[in-house]
Amino acid sequence: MSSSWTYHDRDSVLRGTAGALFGALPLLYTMEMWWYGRTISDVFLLLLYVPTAVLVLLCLLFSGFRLGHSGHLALDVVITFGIGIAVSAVTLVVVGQITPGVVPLSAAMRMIGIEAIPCAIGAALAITQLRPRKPREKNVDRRMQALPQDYQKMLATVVGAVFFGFNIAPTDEPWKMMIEAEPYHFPLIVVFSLLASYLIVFLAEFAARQPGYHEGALGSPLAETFVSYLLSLAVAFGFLVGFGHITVETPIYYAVAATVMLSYVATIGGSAGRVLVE
Amino acid sequence: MTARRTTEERPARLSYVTAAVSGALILALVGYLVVQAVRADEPAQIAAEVVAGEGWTRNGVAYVPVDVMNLGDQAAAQVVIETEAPGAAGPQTATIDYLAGGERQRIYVALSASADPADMTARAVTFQEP
Repeated sequence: MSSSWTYHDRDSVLRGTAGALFGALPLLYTMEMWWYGRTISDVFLLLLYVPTAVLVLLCLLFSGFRLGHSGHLALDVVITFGIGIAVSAVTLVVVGQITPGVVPLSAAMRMIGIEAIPCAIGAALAITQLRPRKPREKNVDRRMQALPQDYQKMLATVVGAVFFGFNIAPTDEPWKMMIEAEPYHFPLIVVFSLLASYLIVFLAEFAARQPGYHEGALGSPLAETFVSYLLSLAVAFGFLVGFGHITVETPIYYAVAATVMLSYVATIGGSAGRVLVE
Repeated sequence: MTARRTTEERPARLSYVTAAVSGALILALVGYLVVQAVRADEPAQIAAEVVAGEGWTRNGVAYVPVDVMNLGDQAAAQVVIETEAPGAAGPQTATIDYLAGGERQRIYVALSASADPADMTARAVTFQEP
């Protein structure tokens, strides 16, 4: 076994640990997340791991844990989740939110469990996106690029939307902002979300377009912008339902308005995701 | 576009060790959550206990600790504790945002010099399901 392999794997683990902190530190310091940890049902938390595992898998598909074939993806997903759990647990203990003997084990495990989700997503993104790239050398294994352009764009949108949205969705702020906003604000938010998305992806020139970027159903910038916005709305709605802000008893106006409010964040995240995958 | 690769990496021993540790962490967390999910949850039951012996007095104000415990398994939200002491102007209330099943939190009640901390009583008045 070559020492360079060890070197790359060590770097991936360290990058993942850093990424878990980069991505999830705001949530590790968010009071609502500690409360969710205390109150969330065990079954619901376990169910949350299913989309999280899919998302981590997609993140790793961006470029993979290491160069080469994808046969070790399951191993990499386990490592990424492990990093998420470890970072979540250590941080919560170090900052005093989990104190043995004060916080019962059941609450501690749920707090670690829910915080491990954004940590794992952050770790997966950092492993894949913060990897050093040598100029003029395609040394990043972008398995995702084997997919058609439309799928790449949609997956990148969902990953980015979830990553950004997760930092805001658990808090009470989107709901409070929605309550305080006037009805005319919401169409403005929709228009501004679409404009911001278009500006970030197509005007800001963050990255060179891949050959074939304009192929497929989402080949036109307008189609890509609108479909990505719809995906961001779906992610925002999913978060609001998941964190209990929207229930079957929520009036439809509030459900739609809150979704639009949070979708602004998800749209910016989705745009960042598409920029990164280019 | 799919990049042609000339190099290939296999997982190093470090990856297998990290994966083993990670797998153990995942098993511990998920296993615990599964066990908790299948066992019956007792509803929240709030108890409040005055710990007058650990209080102190400064500038004529007595600070009396009160331990609030959730003896059930389910969490409670907006737990309102009412305390009353002989000689005090009237009952005082304090609210704890969230109390997980089995969790204990300590609050402190400030009493004027005319009140008697030794005979202070505390009780949970209301709480909500989160």
